[in-house]
Amino acid sequence: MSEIDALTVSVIWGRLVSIAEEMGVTVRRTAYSEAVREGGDFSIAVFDAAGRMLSQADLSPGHLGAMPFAIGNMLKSYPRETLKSGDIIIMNDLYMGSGHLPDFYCMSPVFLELNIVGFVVASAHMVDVGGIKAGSQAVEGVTERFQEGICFPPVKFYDAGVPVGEITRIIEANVRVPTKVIGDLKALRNALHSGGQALSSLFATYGVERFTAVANRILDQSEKAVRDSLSEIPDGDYTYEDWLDDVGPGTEPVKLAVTVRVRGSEIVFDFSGSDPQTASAINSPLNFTRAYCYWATKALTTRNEIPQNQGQTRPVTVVAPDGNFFNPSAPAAAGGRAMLNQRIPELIFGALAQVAPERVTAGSGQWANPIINGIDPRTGQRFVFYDYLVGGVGARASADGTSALSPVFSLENIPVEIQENAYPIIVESLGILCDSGGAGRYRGGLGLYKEVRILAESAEVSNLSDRHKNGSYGLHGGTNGNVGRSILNPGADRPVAMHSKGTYALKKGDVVRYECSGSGGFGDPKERPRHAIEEDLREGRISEGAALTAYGMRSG
Amino acid sequence: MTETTAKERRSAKRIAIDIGGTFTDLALIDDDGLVVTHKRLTTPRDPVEGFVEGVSELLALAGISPSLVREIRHATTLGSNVVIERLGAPVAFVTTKGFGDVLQIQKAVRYSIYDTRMRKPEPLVPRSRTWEINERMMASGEILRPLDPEETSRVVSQIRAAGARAVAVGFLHSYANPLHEERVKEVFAREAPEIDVTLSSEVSQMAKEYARFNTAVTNAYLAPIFRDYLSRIEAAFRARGVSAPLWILQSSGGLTSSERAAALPVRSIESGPTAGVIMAARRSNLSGFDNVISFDMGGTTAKASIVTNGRPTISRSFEIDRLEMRNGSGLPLDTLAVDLIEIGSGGGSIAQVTAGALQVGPRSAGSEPGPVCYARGGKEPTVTDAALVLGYLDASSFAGGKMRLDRDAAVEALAALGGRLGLDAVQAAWGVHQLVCLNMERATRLISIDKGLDPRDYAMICFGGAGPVHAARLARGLGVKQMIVPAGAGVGSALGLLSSLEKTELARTSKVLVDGDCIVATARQIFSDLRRQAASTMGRDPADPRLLARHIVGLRYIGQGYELEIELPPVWDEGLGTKLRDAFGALYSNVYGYAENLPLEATTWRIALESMEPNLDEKLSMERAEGRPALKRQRRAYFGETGETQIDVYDRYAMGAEDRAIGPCVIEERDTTTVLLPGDVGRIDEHGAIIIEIGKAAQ
Repeated sequence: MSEIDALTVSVIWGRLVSIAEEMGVTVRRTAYSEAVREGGDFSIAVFDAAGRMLSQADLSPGHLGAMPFAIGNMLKSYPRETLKSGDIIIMNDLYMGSGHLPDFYCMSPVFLELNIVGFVVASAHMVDVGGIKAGSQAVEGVTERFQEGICFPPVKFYDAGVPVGEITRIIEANVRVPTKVIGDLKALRNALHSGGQALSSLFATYGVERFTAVANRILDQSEKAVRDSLSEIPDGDYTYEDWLDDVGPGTEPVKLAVTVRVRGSEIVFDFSGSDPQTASAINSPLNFTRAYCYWATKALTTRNEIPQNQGQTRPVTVVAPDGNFFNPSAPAAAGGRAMLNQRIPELIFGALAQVAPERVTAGSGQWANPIINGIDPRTGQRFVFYDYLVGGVGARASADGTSALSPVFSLENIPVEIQENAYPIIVESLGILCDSGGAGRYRGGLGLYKEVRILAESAEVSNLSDRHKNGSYGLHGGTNGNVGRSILNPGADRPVAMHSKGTYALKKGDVVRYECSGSGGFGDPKERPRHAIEEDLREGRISEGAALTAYGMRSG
Repeated sequence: MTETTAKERRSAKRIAIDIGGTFTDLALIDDDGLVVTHKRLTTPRDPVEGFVEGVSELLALAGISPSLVREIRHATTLGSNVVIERLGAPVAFVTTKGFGDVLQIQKAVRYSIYDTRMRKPEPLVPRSRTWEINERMMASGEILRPLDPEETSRVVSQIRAAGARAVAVGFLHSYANPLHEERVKEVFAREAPEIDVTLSSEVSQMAKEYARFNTAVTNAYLAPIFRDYLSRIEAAFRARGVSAPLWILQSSGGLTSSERAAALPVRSIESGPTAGVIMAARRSNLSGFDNVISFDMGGTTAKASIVTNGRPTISRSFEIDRLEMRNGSGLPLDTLAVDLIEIGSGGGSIAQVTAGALQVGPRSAGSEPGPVCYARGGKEPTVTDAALVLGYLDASSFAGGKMRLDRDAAVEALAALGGRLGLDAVQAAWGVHQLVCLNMERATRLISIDKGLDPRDYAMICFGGAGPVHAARLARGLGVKQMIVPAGAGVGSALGLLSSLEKTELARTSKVLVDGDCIVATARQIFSDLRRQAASTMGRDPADPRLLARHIVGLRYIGQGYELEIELPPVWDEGLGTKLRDAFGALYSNVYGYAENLPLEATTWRIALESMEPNLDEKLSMERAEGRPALKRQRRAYFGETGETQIDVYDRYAMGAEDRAIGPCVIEERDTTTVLLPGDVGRIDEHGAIIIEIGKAAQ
């Protein structure tokens, strides 16, 4: 093999990333659910024939980190030699995929002439997959995954380009909003189609041998970049513990613990010290745990300087014994596991805060992912309103935390105008919560609050959040972020404090208020410059009371 | 370009003026199709001064009386500069109660998902200058809570007291019913007429509150500045006896009247760089190239854009002030714009030593004080100083010999810079030259390689005063094999303006099921309405046959959130519904692979009205200097490939079709110099463009 010039490597790498991004555009533009088409709750990746992830569209890290395992599981059921051009395999098994049933994976082999040269994979969060409650991620009353909806092991959705009618009909019969679910699955199919063609033509342009050499080089260069950066962290074992409030009304807190072992350019994340799996919808299946360990590794090392691929996960080992909260065994449920996405990097950051303070952030505000369902009086049809709001990002060693931003994932805020068009609701407010961020030399980011009024005759909300009891941690003298709250009818005579994971019946005119928790501060609040405190006061980020209690500053 | 002697009673069909950060480029075309160009330094403290003086100089050069100018066209970087440097008017924002944080929350998207240091863009209005009003529209356009006139008056007086010069009003669902926004505007008109008011429903009819509100806020931020600017230009011209109408280039590449540009400056925010891309598309097309990278390097910035199949790429919305072109890192605007990337690498970019390493830009010496060699007080060496020291520019023929450069001062400044790194002046200049080319290479990669386009499949058209000086090295870095230096490259943007067309686009949202005859009636009604509106903003009769209309409908399967656009056929009869279904099905399956048998709805209706005019480009003839030798002289220049060497200096105006310039050499013209590296071969084509084969002689 002749030496390949650096420009060719760059072009192929750029094209691999842009194929994934263009597939993402296709999903967005043809999807039916607001969560996918506006929020972007889906992911894309491109693999070579050996099943190595070469590129991804930077969307949902939970899907992305799990993809190499998901595709491996799909290929076990459908070995390469049995696959035909135009086949699409789907799967939503929570243990084989990314840890809860709403995440559907679609995979297609890519052919150049008669040979498989790669795979394209698209996954998306479906707004409903059946189960005990609409949205399929309710926590209250769930003890095992059979209550959470329909589960597909790898099955054919398209056979040589022809839809498999049985599968479509089974899905239609088992989900509450079939039009949206089938529509979103077809959006994934569209992406596989265009991405497959683009990847095939890339192989045709460069030839399989040359392409493979370039792929090897991309993965090796990427791996080296991560290793070089990890080598700069002092060797040692670093441990951190935090607590999940509970796993539903009337349950106990769960201990979340990690030991990070740094040895030269290798890093191990060991969750053995965490509590066992729970009999609830909140557990972190191993692929999900891995996915966010990969996210954390990248955030600690190469950040967004180079595009993600499988080379960058080679130095990482994830340890979690069977039956652990971070590696539950069947039939553990996990519908609400999305709450844990940011918690995995937070544990890791907490562990490394002493030895690598400039690489981490303080604890971040907890996001919320409530689902309201009912009958839309405008159409007489069932609606499932999948909503989310984000906390903020924890403060860093050199900057305030950003308010109203997820610390880990790339979901976009769904515009209120789109939500009100689609569902029988009025959003009364959506804002940034004053005083929610922890104090410090650098202040923690503030979280969002939102009030939703119900226009349907009756409806139901399945709340999903955390940190209503334990705030996100501050670092190096910074204080914790404020805890979050969920309130039913906040303006009424008798407002009801809602549990962060409870399910509540709603009637027309009811208002649900969600408040995300705030993020932790970094450094001693006494060192915060006066002008920064004054600006926070002027811009409504802190109250006069907080200026006095947290920073000892009287206004005026 | 034809240099002419004064002719009595000659009238200027139009004048084009492009004001950049360092240079102001001008061009005029007379009734016979003869073109005269001019270049001068920008007057940053008061661009109006340079504008008016520049036009006077151009007219004197052409020998045309001011009263015989029929039209003035203008492209400006004012809008984007004001936003990027956050220099706009103090703006207040009025919005629906409960939504005062929309500009701070933004899309809330992690545009760099792995970067914990990621920041959101800084909004143009802080939370402390945002007012909420207790009103509410529903998604259907029905009023949920009526606007309270007393509360509105109270807010208006508070905003007045806070010293706002402009206000943006953004209420939820105003695209469905703008009544409340319009009421607030009336109250401002009555009670605070000195404050500019922009309504979100005036700038965009799209749902999705953040982008629409931000578009309104950006418009308000720019409005007082644009209004002052344009009215001062017009006043200054009137004082000099010029009564010609002023046209402004919009980001979409279409021209609009100055009144409309003053009311909707957000649509002209990328006016400056757009003119060059229009020129690039037209001129490269003329020389036989359909797919080109447009590379425009002026005094302050460099711009790159991709032209595919002879057309610039146009987006329906874009983000201003983006970081590394990442979606979500800038401020979103619901306006049409030519896709391009702009970076702070120009001839005036300052070189300095930071942490023991040489660094170039993004700080610029601009036109005041300018590069050291301009001898206008500049002390820090720039990219232009480096080019002069390397022998790429000539001290006595810069700007057609109008501006004498001080080479000794440039050598001294570069020697001082190099001294800190143990380099002599030439070595330091070579470093500066290479670095600025690398910066531009990186930017060009973002719009080509990072989108999976291989620059080796593209030719490069380069222009702007500094473009042809640096392009051959940039082309090598990118693997580009052919380079085009169009006639008048040094004032390329002004030439682009000369050939731009007046264009208005209007869109409306209205959901209609595509299933039968009803679509024909709806199309007729909506489009005749849109045509009337669009023609009236152009000051034209809707029946004017010189207006070319394109009718475009956005269609989707019911339940989807995004449309595909189909252009309507010329005849709308009962078969229209079927034609639309077929066309949509074919397009959908072409784009996404599969067509569905699902109900289809039309949601957006868009008219693009363009004023038809003959294409001027064929007429822009190259100035010729018959009888003069093409080879002017020789001089010393430095190239990394050869070291210091003797090079040929060609006179562009004297080069004929048979002449070949073999690099290393330079081809000089009035407003720029084209540098050919060792092995490059240049020739002049029949349209006066220099076509350069990169590295051809070396093969």
